[in-house]
Amino acid sequence: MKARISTEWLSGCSGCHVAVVDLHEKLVNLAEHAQFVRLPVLADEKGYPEADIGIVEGAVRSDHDRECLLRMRESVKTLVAFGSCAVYGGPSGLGWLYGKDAVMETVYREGPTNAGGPGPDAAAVPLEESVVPIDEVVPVDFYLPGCAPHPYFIAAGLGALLGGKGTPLTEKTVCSECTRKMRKRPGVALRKGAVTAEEPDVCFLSQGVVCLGSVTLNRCKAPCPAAGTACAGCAGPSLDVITEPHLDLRNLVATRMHKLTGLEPSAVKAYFEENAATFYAYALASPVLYKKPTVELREWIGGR
Amino acid sequence: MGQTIVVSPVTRIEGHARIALDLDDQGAVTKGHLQVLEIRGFEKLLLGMELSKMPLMTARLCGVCPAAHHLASVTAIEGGLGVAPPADAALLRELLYAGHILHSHALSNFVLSGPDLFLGIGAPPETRNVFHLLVADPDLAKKILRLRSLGQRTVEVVGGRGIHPVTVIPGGMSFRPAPKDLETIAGWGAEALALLAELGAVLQKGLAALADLRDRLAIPYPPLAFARDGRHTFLGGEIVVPAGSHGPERRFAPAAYAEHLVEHAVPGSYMKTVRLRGTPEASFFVGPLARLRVSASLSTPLADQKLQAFRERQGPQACALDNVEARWIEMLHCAERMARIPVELQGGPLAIPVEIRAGRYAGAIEAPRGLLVHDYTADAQGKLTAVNLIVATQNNYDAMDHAVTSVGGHFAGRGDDNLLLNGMEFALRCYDPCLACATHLAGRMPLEVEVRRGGRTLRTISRRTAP
Repeated sequence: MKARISTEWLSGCSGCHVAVVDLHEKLVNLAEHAQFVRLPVLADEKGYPEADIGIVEGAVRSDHDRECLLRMRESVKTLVAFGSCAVYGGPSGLGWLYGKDAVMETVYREGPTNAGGPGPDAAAVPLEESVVPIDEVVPVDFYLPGCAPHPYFIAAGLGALLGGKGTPLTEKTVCSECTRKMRKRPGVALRKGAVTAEEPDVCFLSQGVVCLGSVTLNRCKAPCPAAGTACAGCAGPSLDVITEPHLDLRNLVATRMHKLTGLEPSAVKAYFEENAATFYAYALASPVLYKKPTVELREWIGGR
Repeated sequence: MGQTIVVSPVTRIEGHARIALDLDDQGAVTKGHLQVLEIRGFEKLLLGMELSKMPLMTARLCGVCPAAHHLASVTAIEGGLGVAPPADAALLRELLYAGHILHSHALSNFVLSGPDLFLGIGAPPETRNVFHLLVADPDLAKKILRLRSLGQRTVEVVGGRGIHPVTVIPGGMSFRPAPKDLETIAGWGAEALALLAELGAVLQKGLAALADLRDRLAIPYPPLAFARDGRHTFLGGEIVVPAGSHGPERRFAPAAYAEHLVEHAVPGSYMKTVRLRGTPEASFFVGPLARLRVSASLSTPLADQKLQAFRERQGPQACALDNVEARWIEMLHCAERMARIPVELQGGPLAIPVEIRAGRYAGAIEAPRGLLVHDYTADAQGKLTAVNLIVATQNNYDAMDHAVTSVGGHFAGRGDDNLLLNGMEFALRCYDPCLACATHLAGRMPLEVEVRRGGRTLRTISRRTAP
């Protein structure tokens, strides 16, 4: 019998569902081994049929999300937190910084095109005060971060869950698949705000550009540095950062940049803290980061 | 006392939503209303972030049209700085975007609406999806998936990634694809043209079967779209609203959008609607059909040939159903450009240096679904202090509500809930609503219909097809 897969989309961008469609030809193979009993983006099932594997994209933002997630958990045997929003809150999780009223005030009151009338009335689905990753609400069996997870890892992850031998998911960082070479570049300046650098084959850190590849789990196959852009950390922290309370993105990157360029670690750390909203964007709603003893995200960013 | 029908969730669209249908005492539909159930609130979430990272961050507004946000963001930043990319960078952006439009339109026309067109809107819900199509007509389904993948793979090559591309930077591009990869893309363009020719015939057949819905899907509003010297454009140009019962013609620069557009919250929904400022304010519609009603040429031979025939058949009355053919014509244009751009590249510089400073950065492009505005204000440290976003689907809110009311009225009272639900969903799908974007926000489009009379819910129709 084919394995039954059910999917749900909470507060997220649908990119993780599109990533499943991006299996391209493999999607046809997958359909031979598994049956999608619920897939709201592509099919018309509105209920929560029983399934072997439940795939959840997005974080919990509203009462509606919570209800959908609970029903999903009840209806499936194995629940997968799929993508960085489900695992860590992702960009949706930036709402963790602010109360819901502050978000609503900005969206409906500020800005040059708001008419200034009342916001959505009481009939709108109530928002929760904050945004949380799904394992704050229900037990999760399997985590696949990534924004979106690369189809290679989706195939590997689903392959393992479907009982195939499959490829084991790597525990390495983005750097492990990056082809740029770390080089000593003493005296290089810290290039704040930059996402690109001159030398196409040399590590961004060597060139004074902050790249999060060394502190980010590889669920992407490192396409950004290959295409000239520094890693933004979208798959969330690497395993060493997750498991060691004293390790943090800014300390690890500052140490590496110091060794490559001589840049003062304190300057790099200060840049991270001043721009914490950018550098911690994908995982700040997760206790994995905000419970670290030296990480003060709300103080740095100025949320509630 | 009137009553209301709610369809929830709406499926096969990109977002979370339900429909409320108000009925009068006689059971006739008085008003249909799309309600969007999610909000992420990116205008707030982006505050304090670095302006220079916006092209990467704002792609995360939407997984279906990340390339549109990626490019709108860069367009806004370059507009604020007063710089333009070098010629090769402009061509690579156009190539990336041609791939993106092909992916997005193929997804909408064939993967999401395809089951309605190929199997009929009254087909049983469990068969109305691309997986059933894989069993029922594997050859057709594989062509559909192949066509979309040609677009998305082009984004993967030129944009570095398919979902949330990264290579467009203020001042140009961060990356040039290898010559052999560009050659491959040119081949994909030719392959896409062949697939589109075959699929076009199937599409026409499906549309002909739905011809009795044309009157119901009439759009009583003017189009709003970009044009450059009277020609169709996705990137650059000015915003045009032709003259009509709403008033004289309007033309304005994208950066001046706030002088012409106003947003309103609507009951029960997190998505805001957008109207033209004025007394009274006027509704409008955007997207593929709006673009083709505003411009007389797409500047590529095959698409222009089809556009001419399409325009000759078009009367003064716009019809939402024609978005399907408009998407097909735009896909032809994109495939023609994919085949051509690789040989137009000169090998010149890819980027000019830019320096971020304090100021206002507002700009817009045509997303696959229509006008997309990004507007940032940055301080001296290059950090955002204000953000405003108007996303394509918001612009179609009034038109979608009109369509739901009209089609709901057509199918209500026939005692066939399946036809009522999917009929209204199909009306929405003609606009290809992307609620992930529209609420900057999130969304599935699972449909639930709530039937209300006098504000009281009489019953809720929601599809349950599983055993």
